[in-house]
Amino acid sequence: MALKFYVARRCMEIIPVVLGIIVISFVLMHLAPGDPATLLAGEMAPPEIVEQLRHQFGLDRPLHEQLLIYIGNVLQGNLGFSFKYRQPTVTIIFERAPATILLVVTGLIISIIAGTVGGVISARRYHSLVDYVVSSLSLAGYSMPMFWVAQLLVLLSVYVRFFPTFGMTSLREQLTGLAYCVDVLWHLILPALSISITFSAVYARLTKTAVLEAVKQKYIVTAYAKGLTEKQVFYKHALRNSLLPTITYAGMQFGLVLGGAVLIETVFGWPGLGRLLADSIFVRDYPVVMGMFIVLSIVAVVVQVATDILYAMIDPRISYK
Amino acid sequence: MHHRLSKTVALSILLVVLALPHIPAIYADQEGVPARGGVMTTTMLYEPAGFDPSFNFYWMPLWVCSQIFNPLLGYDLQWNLVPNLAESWSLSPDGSTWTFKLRKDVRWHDGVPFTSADVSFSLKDYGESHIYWIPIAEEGMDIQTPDDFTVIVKFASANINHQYLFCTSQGGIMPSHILENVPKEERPTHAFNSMPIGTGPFKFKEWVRGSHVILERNEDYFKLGLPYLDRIIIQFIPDATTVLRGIDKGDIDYAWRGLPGESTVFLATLPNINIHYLPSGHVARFLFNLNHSILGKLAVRQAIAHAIDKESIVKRATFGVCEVSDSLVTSLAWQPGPSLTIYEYNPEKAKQLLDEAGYEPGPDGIRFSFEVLNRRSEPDEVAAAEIIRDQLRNVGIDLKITVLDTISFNTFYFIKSQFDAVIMKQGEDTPVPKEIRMSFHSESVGKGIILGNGVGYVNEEFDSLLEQIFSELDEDKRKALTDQAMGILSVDIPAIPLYYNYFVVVVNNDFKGDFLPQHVNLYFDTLEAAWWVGARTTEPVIPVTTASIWALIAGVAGVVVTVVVSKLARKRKSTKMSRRTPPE
Repeated sequence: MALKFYVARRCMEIIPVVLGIIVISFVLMHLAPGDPATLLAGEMAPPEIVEQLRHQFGLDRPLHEQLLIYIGNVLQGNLGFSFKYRQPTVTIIFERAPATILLVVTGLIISIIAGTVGGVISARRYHSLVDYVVSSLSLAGYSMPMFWVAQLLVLLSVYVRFFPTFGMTSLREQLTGLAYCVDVLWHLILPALSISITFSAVYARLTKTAVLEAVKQKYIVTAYAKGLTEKQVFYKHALRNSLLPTITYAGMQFGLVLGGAVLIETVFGWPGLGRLLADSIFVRDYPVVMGMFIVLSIVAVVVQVATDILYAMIDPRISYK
Repeated sequence: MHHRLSKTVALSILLVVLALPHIPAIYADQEGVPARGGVMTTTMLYEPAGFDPSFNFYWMPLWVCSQIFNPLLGYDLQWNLVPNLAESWSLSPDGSTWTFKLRKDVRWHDGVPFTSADVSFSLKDYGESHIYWIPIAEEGMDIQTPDDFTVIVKFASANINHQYLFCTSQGGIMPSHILENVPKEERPTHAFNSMPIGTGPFKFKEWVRGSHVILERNEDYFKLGLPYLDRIIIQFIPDATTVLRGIDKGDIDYAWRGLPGESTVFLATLPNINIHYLPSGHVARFLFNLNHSILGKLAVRQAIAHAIDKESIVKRATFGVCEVSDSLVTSLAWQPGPSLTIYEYNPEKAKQLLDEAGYEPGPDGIRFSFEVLNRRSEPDEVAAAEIIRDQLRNVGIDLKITVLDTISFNTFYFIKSQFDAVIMKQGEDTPVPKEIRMSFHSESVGKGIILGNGVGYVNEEFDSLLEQIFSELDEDKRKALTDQAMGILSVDIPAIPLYYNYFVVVVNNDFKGDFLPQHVNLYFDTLEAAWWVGARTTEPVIPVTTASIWALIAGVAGVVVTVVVSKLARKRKSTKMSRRTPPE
């Protein structure tokens, strides 16, 4: 019951956040030069057509009226109509979302697994050559901006010629079924690595620090005293407690990863939400930009709530009373 | 040893299975003969909003429209009119009335027969919606269709522009049975915009937003045997570096826009491509706001013209790909004649003119400063601005550069007129100087028309000459009038011509045919005659690419099975051996 109240409370907190995002992004978008009615009609459309469309989409109304109408529509689940794509915004966002989800989730999973494994190895072989190598790689990975890593991997793909350089699928061959899935996964490798290299460095350092802290605790001594082997003590007790910071960080970083997806998708031509957002900003497609901000902010808050719940499930000491 | 042997076997299986698909596919020998087949991949710098030709002006969606729609006529390589949807035509002696006889064997991509009703609808539609057609329709355009395959178009007067509009996808014929009853304001959002139906060599198959468009061969195309290609894939790739990578790896076969001049150094190292430098029809111009308190003065503009070294700009900003231009229009529309005033690079003369105009240098050596707007999407224009900034500093002018996205640029330049100067490429893609009219005729001053007279140039004599040019059908007389008009423009210098722009066009050697434009009509040429050297009349014995995927899966599965079997075998053997060992 306490958990349900907690979740409900966190969900209610989304509302003022989203409202704030709508107002700020609405004002910012309208400050930028450019006429969305021209975009909708086509730049060479006659002025009468532009005026008709301006009236049809309410763009001739005062700004505060447009904002209130937009908020009213959002509350009814209507995110507006894309000026560029001439489709409902919701349709466009949900068309592109799977590509970004695939990229971001894959990148996160790789970074969590690689980072955790690296951190564990480093902690178990503390002050050894292996530890120094892993720590150095973590530092290097953490220092490199994501877009720079992406460009390096692109360069690699040109010289090694083993991985695709852009896009989500091989368009020449009209692949279907399993072959299509394998093809998408093949194209996913480099973009997902671009995300995971930066974040796995962070997870490695977090895991290492947490593990080293955990093995000093008194319950570890108790576990040894009970006759457990070193592996059992380490993996069943120390490591499990060390995962909590990693989970927290993963939830907090989800928003950052989504932001990084804008750059990664542009570099690799991945047709996801990141590219949609970048393209929409440049062409002043207000409904899509605002719709994206709303959806992404809701997703970020939902992920944080999910992280909190998972945290409670892993650590019985956590309660939401 | 057994373990080592099973690993060796597993590796060998994997290597053989991976190598299999890379054995060249076996075909019958048919080199040099165009055959049906093949997929060409090309790129587009940005994703358009739609493909309705009535609402599109820019070359990118119009290039796609050129694959899907047919105009009534076309151009050959010498700019002579040739048949297209109209199998014959005639022009009245006064040049105002065109009579077209239409082909009877044409069908729309949905199977409906093409008739004169489609032509009538399309021309009227353009007359109400398209910026090039509206002034013509307003002057007077009457369309009659005495039967299903005859169209008579009567204009108020002769105009050389009519010919151009009948020959490109900006006059591509649209299906009346789909669009006739669609209200104008619903057209931008109508399904036709995202799934156009035409009569052209390729059908619109698929549009994945953010990724690509696919066109497929129209099997019922009225030109027998054409097109050859199975499909054309147009990928949206805004980044030139990505395009270069794709060309290098063979993922992109044809790239004709967006490759900067500096890319030629890298492209020259690639083995399987042809590089062409084709005139784009555009001239890069340094345009002035003629209402500016300083730049509005003729002497100042002349001084700036003398201060600019165009050779240096061509070498450094375009890497030698482009050519210096002293004319605001390309040689396609007009060959520079004696009437043209040329401003030679002469910094000392520039300083003298500025002194005489009353702009002496201050204590910091600066006479005055102004701002130039550039488009981020055109790196050569930005580079040109930086070079010009250095050159103007030498004569005491401080130039500030602002780089904007295209929408902001258009807003400040064309719509709000809030600028001092801009650098922009514009020009003609046919022998008809229609773009000069849009850019410098006073009719579009102050109207906020994109690509219109944003500089605010007004000259009645120039306007009058332009009217005469368009109504003059005699080529020699038209050229003489153009000479006069361009002479006036070069004296008034509302803009400084910098360089003729050339596109770096890259074609994969595996594609042949007469599709590569020999003139500037890159935007409107179809790929109907393009063919792939690998196309054969028989299916390949081993389809290569799908097999690669399955071979990889089979290889990995083979390795896993071998390892598991060998482990099981080893375990069984060790169990047997331990059973033989008698307990102590």
